[in-house]
Amino acid sequence: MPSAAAVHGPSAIADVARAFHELVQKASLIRELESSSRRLAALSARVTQAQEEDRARIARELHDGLGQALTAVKMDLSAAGRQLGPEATATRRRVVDARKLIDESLEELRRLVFDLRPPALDTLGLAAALEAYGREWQERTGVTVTVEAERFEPRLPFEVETALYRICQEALANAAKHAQASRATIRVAREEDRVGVVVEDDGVGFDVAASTESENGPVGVGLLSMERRAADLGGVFHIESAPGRGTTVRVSVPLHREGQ
Amino acid sequence: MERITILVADDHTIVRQGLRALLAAESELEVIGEVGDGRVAVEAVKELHPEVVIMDIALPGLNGIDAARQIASLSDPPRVIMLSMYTDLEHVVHSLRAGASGYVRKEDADVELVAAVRTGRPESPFLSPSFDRRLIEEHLRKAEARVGQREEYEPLTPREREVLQLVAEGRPNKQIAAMLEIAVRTVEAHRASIMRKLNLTSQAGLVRYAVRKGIVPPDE
Repeated sequence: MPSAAAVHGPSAIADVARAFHELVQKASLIRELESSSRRLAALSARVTQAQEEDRARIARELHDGLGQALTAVKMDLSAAGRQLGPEATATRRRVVDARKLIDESLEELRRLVFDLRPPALDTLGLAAALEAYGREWQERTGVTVTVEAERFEPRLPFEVETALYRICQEALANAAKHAQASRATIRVAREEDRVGVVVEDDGVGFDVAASTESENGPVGVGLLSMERRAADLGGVFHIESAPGRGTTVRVSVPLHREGQ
Repeated sequence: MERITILVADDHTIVRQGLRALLAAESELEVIGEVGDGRVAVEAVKELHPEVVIMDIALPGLNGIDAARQIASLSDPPRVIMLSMYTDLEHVVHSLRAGASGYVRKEDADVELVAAVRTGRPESPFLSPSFDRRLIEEHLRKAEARVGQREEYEPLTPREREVLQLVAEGRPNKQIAAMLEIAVRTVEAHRASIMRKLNLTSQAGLVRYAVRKGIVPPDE
């Protein structure tokens, strides 16, 4: 009578071989997945950086090119206006109108530049830029915002200031769009050799788990982009919220990155 | 009428041309120099001794606010009138804190700059009428108060002051790390940061600083 092993032997070995083969395939799939997600993360960081550089460049060109030309034209116009005789009332009126038009264009240009990249972020640093943004945001949305931001001496690196500014901007945008908040607070403080950012609002809050699962949801994309920006700096991103309980965004990034 | 000598610091040729035309119309105003870089502006002040500097903010080399601060620290400094496209409160407040005597929006130069050059004083700065003077003064006071609160040990962070005290008391890094419940490496980083900020090169210098600031008593 043939033993069980003899009967089942070849097929059992085949099963094991098949299982082993599948395992090897899975392992290599996982490795591939890990490597492609690393590549994706690197690519996304690069895209974000390129986008920020573009915004900075366009803002600078608007300010340096168009802005300065407009102010110079206004000075010329005034000089020309002063040379007009007392009888040239119609021409003088046209000069006045033209100057007003220049003022309006400059106001528009200023708004564009501020939206692209606020000048204060380059000349004065993160704290001043957040204070300027907070004031502008409060005027626009009617939501009271308090900014308590520590000043860093020396300044934080360009990419850290930029990312933290954008994260605060995104968190406030969420607070205004979805949360129906009446108050919001931004805090930036040094924590040992890290910098911590907290953005809180007293709005309606939301179900974090449900929101992060649907990447296409209105809050989902914003959350992803904040998380991505923090991760690009080797930092961590954390959000606490529940329906009716407001929302708190916490970000912590190292001041000095390993190997840099 | 008494003459006023002026240095113009703006990196845009077209704006400098406009300013030259504008100021040339006033017989007592004399432009004695034009520069397009913040660092060069500071050097030009030392060389030319103008009475007034008209200063843009977005300058290459050194921004106009930092240049104004350096100029204000010279002996017998000129008045600095900021002339900028930036109209937000932060730029105005930072400029005045850096020692500027006035702040004029660039597009208002044609009607306000001459008055600013004639009248601006640090104790009562000239501001474009479009600015909210009350709001600016309120923010100036707040900024002063912020500095006042932590002036004693500036420019160190609270943690660095803690570390400084323990170092000045002669404790080794390992003990400091244990006392503050942080890594030895973090203590080293704090020490390095303190030395860098205070521009010190030795442990002795660090102790002297701590004694001078009353962080540790002289006998230890």
